[in-house]
Amino acid sequence: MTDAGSVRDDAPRTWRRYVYAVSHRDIGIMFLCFAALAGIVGFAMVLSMRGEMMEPGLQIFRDSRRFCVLDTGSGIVTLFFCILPAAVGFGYWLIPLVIGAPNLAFVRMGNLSFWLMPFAFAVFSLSFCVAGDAGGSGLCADWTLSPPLSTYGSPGPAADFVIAAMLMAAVSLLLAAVDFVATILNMRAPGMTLSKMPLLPWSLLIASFLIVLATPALSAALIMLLADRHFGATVFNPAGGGNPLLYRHLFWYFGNAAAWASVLPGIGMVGHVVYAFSGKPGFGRLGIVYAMIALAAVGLIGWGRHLSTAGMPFDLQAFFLIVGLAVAAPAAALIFALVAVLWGGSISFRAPMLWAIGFLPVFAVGVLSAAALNGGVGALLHGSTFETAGDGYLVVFGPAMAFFAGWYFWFPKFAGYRWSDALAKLHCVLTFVGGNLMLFPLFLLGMAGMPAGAADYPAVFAGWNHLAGVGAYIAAAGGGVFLIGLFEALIVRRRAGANPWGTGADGLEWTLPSPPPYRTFDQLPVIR
Amino acid sequence: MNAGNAKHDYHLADPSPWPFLGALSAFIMVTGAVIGLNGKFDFIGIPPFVRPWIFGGGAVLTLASLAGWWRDVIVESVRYGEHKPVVKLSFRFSMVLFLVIETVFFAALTTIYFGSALFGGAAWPPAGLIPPDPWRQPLLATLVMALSVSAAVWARRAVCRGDKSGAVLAISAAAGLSAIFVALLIYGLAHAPFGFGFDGARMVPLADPAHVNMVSLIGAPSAIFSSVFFLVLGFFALRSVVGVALWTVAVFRALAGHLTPERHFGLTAAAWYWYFGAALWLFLYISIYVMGYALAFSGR
Amino acid sequence: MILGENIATSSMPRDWQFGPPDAAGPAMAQICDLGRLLFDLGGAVLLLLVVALAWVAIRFNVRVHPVPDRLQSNTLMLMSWTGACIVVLVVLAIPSLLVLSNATAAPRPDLTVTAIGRTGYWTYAYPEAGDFRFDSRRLHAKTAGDNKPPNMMAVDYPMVVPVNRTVEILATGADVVHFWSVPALGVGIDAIPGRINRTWFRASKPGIYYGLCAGACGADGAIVPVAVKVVGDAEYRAWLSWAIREYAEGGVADRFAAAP
Repeated sequence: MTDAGSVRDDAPRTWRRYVYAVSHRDIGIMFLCFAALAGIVGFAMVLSMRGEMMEPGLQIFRDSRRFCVLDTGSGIVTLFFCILPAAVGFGYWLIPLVIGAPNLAFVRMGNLSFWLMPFAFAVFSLSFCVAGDAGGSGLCADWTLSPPLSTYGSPGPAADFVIAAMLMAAVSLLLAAVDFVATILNMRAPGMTLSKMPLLPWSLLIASFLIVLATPALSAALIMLLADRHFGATVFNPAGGGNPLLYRHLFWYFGNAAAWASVLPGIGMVGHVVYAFSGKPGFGRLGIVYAMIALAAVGLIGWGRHLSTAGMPFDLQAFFLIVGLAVAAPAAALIFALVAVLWGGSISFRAPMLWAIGFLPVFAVGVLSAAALNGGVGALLHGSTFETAGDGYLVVFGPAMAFFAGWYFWFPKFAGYRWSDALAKLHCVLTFVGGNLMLFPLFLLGMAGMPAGAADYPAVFAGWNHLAGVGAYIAAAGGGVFLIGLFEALIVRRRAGANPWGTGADGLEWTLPSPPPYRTFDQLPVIR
Repeated sequence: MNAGNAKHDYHLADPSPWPFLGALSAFIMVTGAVIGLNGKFDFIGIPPFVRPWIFGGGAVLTLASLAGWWRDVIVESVRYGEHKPVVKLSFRFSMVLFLVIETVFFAALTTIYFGSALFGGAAWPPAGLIPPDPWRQPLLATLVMALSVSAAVWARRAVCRGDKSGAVLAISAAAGLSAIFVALLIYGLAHAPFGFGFDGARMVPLADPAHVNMVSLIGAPSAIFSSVFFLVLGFFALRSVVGVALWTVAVFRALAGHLTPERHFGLTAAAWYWYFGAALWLFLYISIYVMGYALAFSGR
Repeated sequence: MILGENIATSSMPRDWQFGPPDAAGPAMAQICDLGRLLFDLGGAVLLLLVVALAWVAIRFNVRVHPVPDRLQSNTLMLMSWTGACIVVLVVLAIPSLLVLSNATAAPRPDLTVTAIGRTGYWTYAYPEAGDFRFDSRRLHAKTAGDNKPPNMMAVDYPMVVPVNRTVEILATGADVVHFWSVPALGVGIDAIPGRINRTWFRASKPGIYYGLCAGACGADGAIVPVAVKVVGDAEYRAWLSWAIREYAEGGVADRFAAAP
């Protein structure tokens, strides 16, 4: 098994290797680099907004419309171009190695799903250069593109570029999801039954089904938006008998599923890390798998927390309330199962483990806030920064913690070098403290009545906003430490060897050299 | 092929330009579409008569990339025998997933139809709107669809028997019937008793000075019926055109002798695609044509 | 005539406020009770998790506990924990459903006010009480004069309602989707074009209550305040007769189209 990588290295040379990529790891690393760049862009947008809001009044932005354009853009960049592509990138890089497959089922389709992303981002960037509405360039609407603000409220081409970019990103996600499902169901190493399959492919399999079942609804909604905007259709226009509320149902059906689809791979990665550093590999794994399936099943139909004030009839609201609360049960089971792995273990606090442990409370806060937003108190909190903070914890902060746990865990495998443990831990502490300082005050502001998306605000909200700005700068410092650590690791070049983590890391990927040769598993490993 | 010393049946693809070219063409097509749709706006001085050509060029490039890619796959299958059973199993999985994706897509497109019909509160179809007669062209299209499905079944049986001439005949019949179906569908759309949305609708600025950057459409509530009608059936026509393309390629592959009793996934995929379309058509025919017509004459 | 100079109680958020505003009506009191339950339970769960993680870090790190325990199965524990969670969720679901049914099932209203959301301001119509309507715009500091209104929250003409009466709000959007909410009264409802959403409140204390909307309220992301002034019955009647005269004769507000 260990000699699987000993065949000659016949990698294509120069740019062809990436542009014509047919190795899952080349596609994966391109996805991860793209997600990192988009993450830097998205975080820079958030940082400028948080900096603006440290004091009441306008300091950085010339007018509130520019702020609104960034507010719209940052949500789209974060979800469509950072968090989801990062999950996809880890999937491309790791799934075949973890399940003992030589490559993906459809590697060219994987390459298409990657290349659609930077082109989608280019289309998205064009939206900043053209008119959005009479107020100026760029799209100033809700980031969910809710009509009528995104139809007759934004007559310029900026909205079309954003819609087109989201459509391209949706196609990319669907291709990746189909690729993952075919690979995971069909290309596991001989003897690796589904019940023996590790957590990461499990989580990505479940997330892929969520994407397959939810993303086409987004595509349909966006196409109907385009038809409304340009072809005289009135699907979302009440003047022609349409219903703007329908778009929000369709969007949040997708958006809610996408939120769980970005959390699930993170849970899978945290599972690997926790197993590797607790001395209890595989403990309670099937329970975690069942909880993930339950989470996805309940999560798929629980999009109502974003519509709690839309005036739905009582029966529908009650349904969404019950489903929304029910999501907390599998989530709690997941957290409990991961704590049970730690309990009675023998824990070495290496950097990935620190990130994984930090993920648990962040995920818990995200789930609790999502439950709180369901009906009942929703009327009080909807449209306030409470909702921003809840989505931030669930969709951005939690996955980011988990993805960095995975990044530091598998970086030696990706690059062949070890990351400085001290720098990775410093990054973790800064991100955890900064992220919480940035987002938790938004819960309190939302309860006090601060609306989401305001550039300027009453002075009575200044205190918590200032604290949130400080948190954003601390998190940004964490990002700087990440970049320093990356350069340090690539310059100092501490050789990692096949398995730098010891016996706890018992996956198939650790049987290969680091970095793995271009061709892996020419002789399929056999699982007993 | 770089199978080298691999000891497994999986297909390891050679480096391929098509994914990148496909994404690049999609970028050109999408950007061209946005530029073409916004005639009133300036895009770094691109003159109006050039604009549709950007979209058209992008669309042609996209189709060319897909065609080149498909050709590579056929060569790999026929000449190099790369499609071992495990690879074909992956094809089957992805085809099923594709049909799931299509189901969700059409379900989302029709939500507004059923939402308005069941929970809209107002009359459905909207007052003053007569839906097309389901017992004329749509019924004919349904019958043609049924015939094409029979031809598809016949084609698969002929291929599985190894009956080459029968297979060519059956697949040609399926291709011809599916083309007739598409023609009937498009004829029905072109001769519908109403236009798409508002006829000649466009966005107009609101007069109110407080809403200078808002525009609106003022029109009849019946526009919703025609909007959904044309969106759903238009996309159904589009996917049927893809089905015709699949059948046409299958005809040429049958003539070239590519379709053997052991290896004919191209035909299987086309057949699955078409069966799914038949089921979807039946659903749309009953729910939009028949129910729409019946409701229009029972309610008032 | 701008009302609101000598209001004794005014519900303003405070800097470093921790928790929701003080309830000014039964609906908000109910929501506050539910919210307290939610946040206490959530806080307890979070505290439990953090304590467990700290305990794990102290007790089970590799130096203190070098050999991991070899437990085989934790299915029973997992099941009991999940069962406990489900019990907690059922306990939460019952008051949540009560709050929800309270918000959706309005009692017979004493007064109906239509709130029409527009980009930058709200229009209020009183279709049963004199059939007039007026615009309510944010009061900018330079036009406010000596009244020292709360920064960015005050409006020129707030919606005025009587205390201890059931007020029904019919919300709709004139251009895009807006959001009409007053947290202290426990109401919040989307104002969607082409659709009339219904909610209600009952204020138990006189005062001015504010709500704010930004991202969801139209095109430029600036804050649009909602202000509701709750007054005694006599003062309300006085305001009503003033308003009918003032707004029926044109002046600052636009005319209601159907008004005589």
